[in-house]
Amino acid sequence: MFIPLIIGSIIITSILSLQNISGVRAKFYDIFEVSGIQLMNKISIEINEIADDLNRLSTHPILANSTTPTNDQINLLQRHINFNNSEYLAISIYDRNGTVIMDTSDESPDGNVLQEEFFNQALAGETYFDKNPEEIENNQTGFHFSAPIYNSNNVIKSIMDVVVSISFIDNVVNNTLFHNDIENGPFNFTSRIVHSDGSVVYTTRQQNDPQNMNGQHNLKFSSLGYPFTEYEKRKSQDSILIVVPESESAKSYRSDGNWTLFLEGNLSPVMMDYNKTVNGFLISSMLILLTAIIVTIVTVKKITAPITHLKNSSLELSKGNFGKEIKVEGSNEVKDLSISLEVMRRNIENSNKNLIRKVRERTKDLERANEELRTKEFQVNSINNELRISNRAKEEFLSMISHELKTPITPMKLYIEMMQKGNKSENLNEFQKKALTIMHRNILKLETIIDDIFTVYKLELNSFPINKENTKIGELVENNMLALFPLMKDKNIRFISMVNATGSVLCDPVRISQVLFNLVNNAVDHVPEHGGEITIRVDEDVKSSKMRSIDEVTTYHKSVIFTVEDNGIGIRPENVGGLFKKFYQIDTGLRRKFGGTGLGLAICKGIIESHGGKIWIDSSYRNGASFKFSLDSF
Amino acid sequence: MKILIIDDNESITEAVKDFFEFENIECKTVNEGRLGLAEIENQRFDLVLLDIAIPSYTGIDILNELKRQRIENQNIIIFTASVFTPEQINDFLEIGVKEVLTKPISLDKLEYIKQKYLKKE
Repeated sequence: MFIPLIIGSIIITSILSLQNISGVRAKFYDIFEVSGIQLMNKISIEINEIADDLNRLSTHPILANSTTPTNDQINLLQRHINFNNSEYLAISIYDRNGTVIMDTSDESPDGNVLQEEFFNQALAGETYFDKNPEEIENNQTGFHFSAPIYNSNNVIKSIMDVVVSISFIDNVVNNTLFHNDIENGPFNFTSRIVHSDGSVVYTTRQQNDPQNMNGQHNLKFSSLGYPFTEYEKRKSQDSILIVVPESESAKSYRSDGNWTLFLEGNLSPVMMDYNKTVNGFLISSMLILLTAIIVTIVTVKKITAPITHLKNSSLELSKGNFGKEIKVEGSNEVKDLSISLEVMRRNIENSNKNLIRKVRERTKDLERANEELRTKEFQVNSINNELRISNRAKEEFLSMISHELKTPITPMKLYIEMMQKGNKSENLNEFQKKALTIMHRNILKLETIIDDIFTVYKLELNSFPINKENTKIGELVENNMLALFPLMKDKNIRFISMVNATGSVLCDPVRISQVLFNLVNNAVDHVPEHGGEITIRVDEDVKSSKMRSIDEVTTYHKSVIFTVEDNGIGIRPENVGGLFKKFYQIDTGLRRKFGGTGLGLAICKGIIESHGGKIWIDSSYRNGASFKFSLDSF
Repeated sequence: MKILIIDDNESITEAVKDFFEFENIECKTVNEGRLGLAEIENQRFDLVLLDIAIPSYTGIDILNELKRQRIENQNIIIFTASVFTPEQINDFLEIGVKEVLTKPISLDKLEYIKQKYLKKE
């Protein structure tokens, strides 16, 4: 943005300089013109003065008076030359026949002047100036000024001729123009006076060109020619030509023609100097400008570079590259900013590094943990496998034990039952009957214990098979009443069933019978010896739980509740909690009043929960113990 | 009427034998697998009560051998403590396996067998 400005200013400066050059040339032209006019005027004045002087001299009484001795006349003339004008080369007086009468020069001019223009003009009564120079003697060039001399009768007595050296023009030129400059200065110009007949009358003497001093005066100045079209042309070539014609007015003499002054100046040295100066100025200004540009650029760079660097660094930061250090440079403000940014970057980088390190550590920890987990999983799997194997082995072992325990019982039981059977028991006495009854009851108990142990372990091993089937509630209760009725015989217990529900339950009837057997068997143990009462009741669940099916239709999840109640001693609240635990008995230790393995309720719980039901003790029942379990119904 | 009882437990075979003999049904008891097989091969029984879990030569071995020898159309009731699937029963239908009863043997079960298979004509 700076560079075009600077280039523009250079161009403007150049244009101004060029315009100045033409202005300078015009100035020069003006000066030259004025000088030329002045010069020509002065020359005219000089000529007029000479003419006047001539007139004065020619009318001098000494000359007019014929009686004046010739010596006095000569003396006058001589004096005149000596004191009046140093440019006067000679004064001659001719008679009317053209013969010289008097002459100030030593050698008398030979020949007659009868044919000369100046003589004839003067004879005609005119003051005459011959504008064509003539070579006089001693290699001198001069002009003829002539005038008539009248006698007392006002008749032309003789003719006076004054020869004026051409150097009078030199004097005028030297006095008028900057003489010193002509010779030594840079100005290089020539003044030429050209006669109207085309011949060059006068040329300025050039110091460095002495050849021009002579031999040029008579040369025809034809090369210039008229009109001066060359003027324009030459002006454009660092040269000026001023043409000043002789003023026509106030001429006190007659002449054979007019002079024209050609003032020709060669401006090239001046212009060259000027151009040199201008060029120097331009070059120096250019240099200054360039320096300024460079300095500006460098300065701007110096100022902007840190900012740009900072900007780039910020960009990098914004892209999330925190690894590159931010250089601290530039002005104080930028430095402060850089430092702040660098501090920020380092902080971020450090936290990043910390974060990365932490993540790595965590990852490593996680990997380690994972590895541990895998190992653990493997261990767990192998343990599980071992467990499965050992479970199966346990199950097989239990099955075997159960079988082996029951096998000896089988024949015992068979014989007792055979003996107790109607026709054979008739032969038995009361003692034998009693013994058989007690033996039989204990065998049954033993079988129960074995079954309980086996069942509870199977439940525990989750290998307890449950074969659910639709079972009518009424039938289920009736069958169990029949099967359990023998238990009531010894204590004469009142055994009642109340079925307040219809429909079916989905259950394994064998397992439910097992549950009912356990509950009723417990009740039998706990009812009083006389007036014992056990009730099996089935009710529909009043608070059927609401279930949401997939198709958003609300269906009622029905269930029934089985209750086994007795009028026994009941269960104290503090004992309710652990009642369904394995081997739990309310009485522990040697003072156990009631038998059993303590597995019954645990088995019941396992079976009911396997059915998706619940088993609990109704603690609000005060008349004894009340066990309840629920089963899905439909 | 003659039935064969094969079980390694002598007490059991004796009890079962006594049960049936009270009912005037002739019983033969065998407590070893191979002997049981030999009995079946030698003579025809009206009913065979076969225990599966007999050491050294099991009830299954006996059944397989009978199947191999194509000794068919027997009346065999299996007693077992382990689970016997319907597929396993199907395998021995030609031999004449009628029913599988779970051990332990009870008086009720014997009564049931007597009623079902040994009705006097």
